[in-house]
Amino acid sequence: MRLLLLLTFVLFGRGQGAQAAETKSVIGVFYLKPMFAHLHQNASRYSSSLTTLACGHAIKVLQSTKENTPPEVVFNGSWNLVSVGPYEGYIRSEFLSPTKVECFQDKYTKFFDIFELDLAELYYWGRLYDLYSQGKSKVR
Amino acid sequence: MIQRTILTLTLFYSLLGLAQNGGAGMESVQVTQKDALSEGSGSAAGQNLEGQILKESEVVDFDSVKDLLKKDQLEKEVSKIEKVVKTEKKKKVDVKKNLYNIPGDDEFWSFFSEYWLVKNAPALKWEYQHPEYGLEETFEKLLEKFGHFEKKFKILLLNTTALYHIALPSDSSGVILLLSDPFIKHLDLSKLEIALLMLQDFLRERMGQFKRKVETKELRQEIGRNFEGRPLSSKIFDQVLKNYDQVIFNKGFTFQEQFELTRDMGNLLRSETTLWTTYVELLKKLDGIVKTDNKFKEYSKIYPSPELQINWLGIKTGPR
Repeated sequence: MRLLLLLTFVLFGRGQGAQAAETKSVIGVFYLKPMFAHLHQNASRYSSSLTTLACGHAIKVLQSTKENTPPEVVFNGSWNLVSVGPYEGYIRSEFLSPTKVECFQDKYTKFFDIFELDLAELYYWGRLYDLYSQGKSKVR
Repeated sequence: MIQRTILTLTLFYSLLGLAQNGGAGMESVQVTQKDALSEGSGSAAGQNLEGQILKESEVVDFDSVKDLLKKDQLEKEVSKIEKVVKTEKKKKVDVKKNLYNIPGDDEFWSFFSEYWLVKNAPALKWEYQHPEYGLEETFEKLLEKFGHFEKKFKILLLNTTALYHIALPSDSSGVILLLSDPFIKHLDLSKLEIALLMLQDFLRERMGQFKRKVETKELRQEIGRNFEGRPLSSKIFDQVLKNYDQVIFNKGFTFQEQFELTRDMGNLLRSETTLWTTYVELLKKLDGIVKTDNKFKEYSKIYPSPELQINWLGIKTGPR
């Protein structure tokens, strides 16, 4: 019984400690490249969407530092931890540009308005970019 | 004399940079003008001056003070300012007009194909969790082997057999490849076979077979134009959406189109033994499934027909 109690305290203590030791800092502001994209809860394309973002949205990229480990910027190979408004989540690194981007919906505002996309369609458009497998053949 | 003073005063307010120390005094009008102008356009004061001049130049009638300006050697400056005003006005008009631009070919097709995918998301069932087949690398190599360099592609797997496989138009260097996951699983296709199927779709798209069928006369007239001051009917795009549906789900491609494509595939692959054998095997698998499985009998309606393709390639078919 005493051992169990001790173990509980140790585990609880470690959990608390680990939480407290993680610090996050902004390393830069980036801009969203695709027409729409999702901010995910975890670093996976199948993870829940926290919100849908539109091209050109400013996104703060974070660096996570935990005690005794090197700082992390890229997660699960190709994801960045970011902060957007009230949300903190993950977004594909390839979707981010360090400079402002030219967005289709801004370039062709009135044309784009004709299609009157609803919320469900914006959601699907973002998912499309999540689920594409993209490639490019090399330069000659 | 009084008139001259009034005109000079008008000038004073036009050339506002001088007014940094607004109370410099009437006696220093000429001197202040010179000073302000010689400060150079790079300085903040210079920019302020130019901005103010732009504003004021809209109300000052420079013709009435022409002689005076000439005398004061300010005519050149005025003409420079008038040019800037004209350019700025044109810029404003252009910005407003550009809002009504319709994308050109490249941007239109990549937008519209994705719009069709979004509109048909529930029917196409592409939003599902699927394994990573790693097809990108195999397809990249195949494109490079046949000289298609710097071509971008997006592969989207579908969890349905409502559509088997097709390439949708995107920008001039890209394509969107749709693949039915249950279809490729049922046929038990290898990575190379899938890549060859995608190469065939890629070539079909490059040949313009799909675009020719879905594009309407009305759309062709609008692509790349501007619609400021006139309505642009959404019906044009609704029709193109319908045409996508028709080609993809019902009508498919003609015998002639299929023949031309098979001929091109044959010419491309004939000298590559492994690829040639794999392509023929792929067609045989397709022929087999079309003839034996009711679930896939519609395939020949869209792509007529694997059996004919094999014949066109000059391959003798026997009982499998």
